[in-house]
Amino acid sequence: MAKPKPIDDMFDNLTGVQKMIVLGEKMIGLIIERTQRGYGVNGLFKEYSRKGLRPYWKVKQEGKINRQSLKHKPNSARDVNLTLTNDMLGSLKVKTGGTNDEQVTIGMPSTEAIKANAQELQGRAMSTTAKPVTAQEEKFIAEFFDKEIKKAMKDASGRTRIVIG
Amino acid sequence: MSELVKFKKEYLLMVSRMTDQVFQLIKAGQTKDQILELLSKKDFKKVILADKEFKNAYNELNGLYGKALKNMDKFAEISPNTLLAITKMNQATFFDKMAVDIANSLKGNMTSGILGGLSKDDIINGVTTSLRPDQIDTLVTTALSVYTASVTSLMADKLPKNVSYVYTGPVDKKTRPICLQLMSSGELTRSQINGIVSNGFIERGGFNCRHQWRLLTKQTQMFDPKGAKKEAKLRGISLSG
Repeated sequence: MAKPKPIDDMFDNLTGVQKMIVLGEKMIGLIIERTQRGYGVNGLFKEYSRKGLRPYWKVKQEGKINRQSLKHKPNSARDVNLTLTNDMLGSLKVKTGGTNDEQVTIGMPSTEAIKANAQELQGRAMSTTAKPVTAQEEKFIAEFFDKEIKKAMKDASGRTRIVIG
Repeated sequence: MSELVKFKKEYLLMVSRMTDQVFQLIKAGQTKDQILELLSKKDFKKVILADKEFKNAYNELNGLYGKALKNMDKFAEISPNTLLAITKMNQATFFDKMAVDIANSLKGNMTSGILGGLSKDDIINGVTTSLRPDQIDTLVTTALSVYTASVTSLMADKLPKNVSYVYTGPVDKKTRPICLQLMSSGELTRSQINGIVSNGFIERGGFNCRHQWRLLTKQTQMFDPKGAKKEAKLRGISLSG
């Protein structure tokens, strides 16, 4: 039986679209990691409201919400990770439309995008149209292209002709 | 308003309208026997889908498939006929079944309610308790999640056979034993996954599952095989299969 290998290790053998998908999957990983640390695309997430008898963060802290991930219970109103069940962050996917040899689009289904949008309106944007990724993530993308894409081109240089016309 | 919210609203309104119609018959002087005979003869799936507002909401719910398709992992092209076949199969498994469940619940509760002399509100409560709006949430969430996974699986056919996937999502005391087993197994190929659980790549932990199979990259999150083993040990769950 074939031994499983991370897709990173077979990068050079992938097609152009598949390479972009790998980049998309890596970006999803970075966005989830950042979000669960409490950082949005514009910096620290706005803390949860403390108003009302049972503010949302308190209810989330009790851990009694159906399907709730108990590892993501907040310690305080400042502890924002946008993870209740993992449905929203888990639904982040490389999108069918808008992914080709030159670009990759990531997004989530409409039922989950509504939740993300509601958070954005409350000052907790994971990603926005104007600023989809942070400066650090932009650096990661640049390095990914430098290291992986250029390397792939170099490896194939003996066989590839570049035609300018 | 999202399709799901609208559907749940129309479901409750339809149940109320249908129950109201039966009570109109009582008011009009029909006997219990006559009403029960009428209820027994009716095909309730047809009856509920003849309710215009409910039918519109039901059709819009089916439109979620199109939206789901636009948001799927893209590994390769899939023919429109294959997608149509998957869509039809998923609709039959989940949404058609839901319509049948709603029809059966309505018919059953009306019949027993009329027999037992229950009030209109009691009958409505009976119907909405046997199929609660939050259960509709579960059904639709699971339907779309399985659907997405089905197409992802087809697309994965085009990737190298030995590419590894990992099971991602929460590990806590709610995590099902099968999900602990899948996560603790670490990196797996698709055929290895389906060897552990029949059709595990698509169905994962079953209804309401909080987990996803993801292509393993160095950046993959929510993947905790050690945590899954620890949780299984804590709960005395054997992971040997």
